[in-house]
Amino acid sequence: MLKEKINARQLFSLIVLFELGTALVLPIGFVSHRDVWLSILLALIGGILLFLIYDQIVRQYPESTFVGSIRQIMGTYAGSLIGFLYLGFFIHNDARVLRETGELLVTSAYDMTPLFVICAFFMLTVVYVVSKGVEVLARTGEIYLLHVLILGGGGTILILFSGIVHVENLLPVMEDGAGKVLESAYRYILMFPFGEMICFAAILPSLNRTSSGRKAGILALIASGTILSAAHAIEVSVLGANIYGRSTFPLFLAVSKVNIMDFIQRMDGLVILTLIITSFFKCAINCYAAITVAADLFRVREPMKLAMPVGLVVLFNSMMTSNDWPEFALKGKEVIMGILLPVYSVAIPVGLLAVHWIRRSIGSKTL
Amino acid sequence: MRTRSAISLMLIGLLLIPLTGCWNSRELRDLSIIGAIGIDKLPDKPGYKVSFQIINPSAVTTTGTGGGGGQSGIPVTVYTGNGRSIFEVIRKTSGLSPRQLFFSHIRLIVIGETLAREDLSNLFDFFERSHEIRLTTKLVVSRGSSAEQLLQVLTPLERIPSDAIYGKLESTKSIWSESMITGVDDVINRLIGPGKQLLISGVRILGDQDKGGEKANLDKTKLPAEIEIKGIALFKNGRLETWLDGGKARGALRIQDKMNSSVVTVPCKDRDDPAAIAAIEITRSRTKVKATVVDGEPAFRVYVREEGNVGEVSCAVDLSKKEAIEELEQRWRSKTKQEIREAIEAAQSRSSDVYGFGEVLNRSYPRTWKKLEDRWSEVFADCEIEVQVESFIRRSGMRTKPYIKE
Repeated sequence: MLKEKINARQLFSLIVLFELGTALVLPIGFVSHRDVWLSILLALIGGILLFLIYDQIVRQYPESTFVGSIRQIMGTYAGSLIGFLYLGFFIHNDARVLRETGELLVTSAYDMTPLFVICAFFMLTVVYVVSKGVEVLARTGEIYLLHVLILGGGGTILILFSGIVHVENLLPVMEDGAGKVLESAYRYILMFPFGEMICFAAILPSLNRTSSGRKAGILALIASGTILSAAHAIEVSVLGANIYGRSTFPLFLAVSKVNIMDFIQRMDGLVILTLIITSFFKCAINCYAAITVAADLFRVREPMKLAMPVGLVVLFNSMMTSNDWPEFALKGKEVIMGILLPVYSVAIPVGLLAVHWIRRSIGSKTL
Repeated sequence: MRTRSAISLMLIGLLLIPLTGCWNSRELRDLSIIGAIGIDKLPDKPGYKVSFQIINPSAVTTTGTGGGGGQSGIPVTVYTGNGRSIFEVIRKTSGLSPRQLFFSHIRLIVIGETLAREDLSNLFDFFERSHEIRLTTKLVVSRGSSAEQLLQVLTPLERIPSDAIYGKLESTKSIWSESMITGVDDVINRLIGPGKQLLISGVRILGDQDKGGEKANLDKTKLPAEIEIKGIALFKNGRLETWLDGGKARGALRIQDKMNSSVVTVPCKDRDDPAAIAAIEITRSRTKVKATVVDGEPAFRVYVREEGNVGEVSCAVDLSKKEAIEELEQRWRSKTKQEIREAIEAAQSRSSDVYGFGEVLNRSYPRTWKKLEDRWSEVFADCEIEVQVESFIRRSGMRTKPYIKE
């Protein structure tokens, strides 16, 4: 069923782009603004553990898809039910990524353009690339990772050279104790962006060598976690913890402060570009995960024909999910990070793996 | 086959719609670029009087660099409107402006002194919320005149007044160091920061305030009205308390480690002769502020290390001798100390921690800070602050002994 294959390096690029999508530019962590860099590094450990769980599940049945593995663990009916749950989750999560990107673009640059138009064009591009299949997506990812690294490296150099980094903004470390830092790390950052990695469970079966996924994934997580941590540390040190915590788009603000010799300035376009590239991949990967799950559930022969319908559902879902930004942000914090992500990216995968191990140990005894 | 090509043609036709360009497009010819915004208090009712200094592109782009020449017209126009919120006034003034006001290139926000003396802490939300205004926009307080009057003054050499003021800020900051450049984000960080107090540089009109807006202002070699960067406004709880000038201002910059370069005059040989002085150019200056806590009582040490050269002497002193240099260093040191003391005194007497001592305490003793945070202003006023200065004169220019004889 899965004829298309991607290699480990492409997986690496996809994971890095996925993790940087929106998490790079939004304030994350919520409770420990000043120590957010520390929280990210702490959450990274949990993120790697989560990824290992997803990898274990997929690894048990190298020949099947994500839903196929769930069905083999839970049986056809219960497995399909869980598959349905994941379909809804992936679609909704994709809709949120889309909405978030659209909102950021409207607030920062396109104030007169209707949100729907921005989202529709964005999704159209996503659907086009995804309908070409995961190979095309992965190859595009390889190229764009390079773009993002160049943009990011360039942006970092500009920030450092314009002398706006004030390291003392990061002090004192752990002002309110380690509790807040841990709460940020494990209540929020572990879920977003690391928990969202669950959709890679639908991509891992496309690897040409299933065993290569673990190493590439861990390396990609370490790379993206380090980049995120550094980027947020720079954002805080440029803006101060308070402005960082109150802003909708801190990276944009930090880069807009760049001014070298009154000549190199107004570099915020770079951030918009980075936002569009990384969110594009996050959106596309979520969309692809939804498509493969849907194709499995409804036994569609050519999964990529589902790109357009799934894309449309995502687009309209993104419009309907909230009326305004505060509602959207609150839902993200309370419902998505509070309930959905813990269930879908921690509880169910852990449960699946536990059931699998129990069944295997019982099975091997009876044999 | 035919249906296929028909569909393709239709799709290509559809492309024409998005290819027309940006939905958000605003053509350059429909925009008025604002160089500076001025905010004043309305005399008797709540609200603001907001002035916009709009750049007149055709007058700026003319290639002649004569400045104030007849053919090019006045480089800026000032519009003013009243309203309860700044955002409201911006839209309201559309009745005055033939083009839409465009904010991305604002260099300067000028706050009128009367408004500053009242309360400016709630003024900045718009500048932070708007996506058009950059955080790099700088703030100044217009000293002795309204912001509106200040924005009207035409300037020579640099045709756009907001650029001229900005240029003056930059150059005086780097070679005279009695004023500082404060961005919108600095102000907000200070207002919400632990000390909650702030410093903003002052700008005033020298000469006849009413003549500054006339084109005739540029027709003289000695201008009737000039803009000068002067002093630093010391705020307490968002209210302008006092102006720091001269040595105090310099001391204020030293405490914050913002001293770039300046010239200090110290008595040359014997203290009684005011004409016998030595001018020392500060070439390098670093300041460290350290906090200590003894029995729950915070104390601070300001440690300054400065280097400089002798730039001018008006008495017979043999600068080739090490002893002479050391003597000058000694006097320079006490002068620096005195400037810093005065600056600290000015802040402590108004119990306004404008230099961020509270932040220093928070960084090294977060627990003590937590206890003192609520009554920090009073604690700060009685804090022990020790000043230590190390001064080094490195060289004395192209001559050793001056030609002046006893």
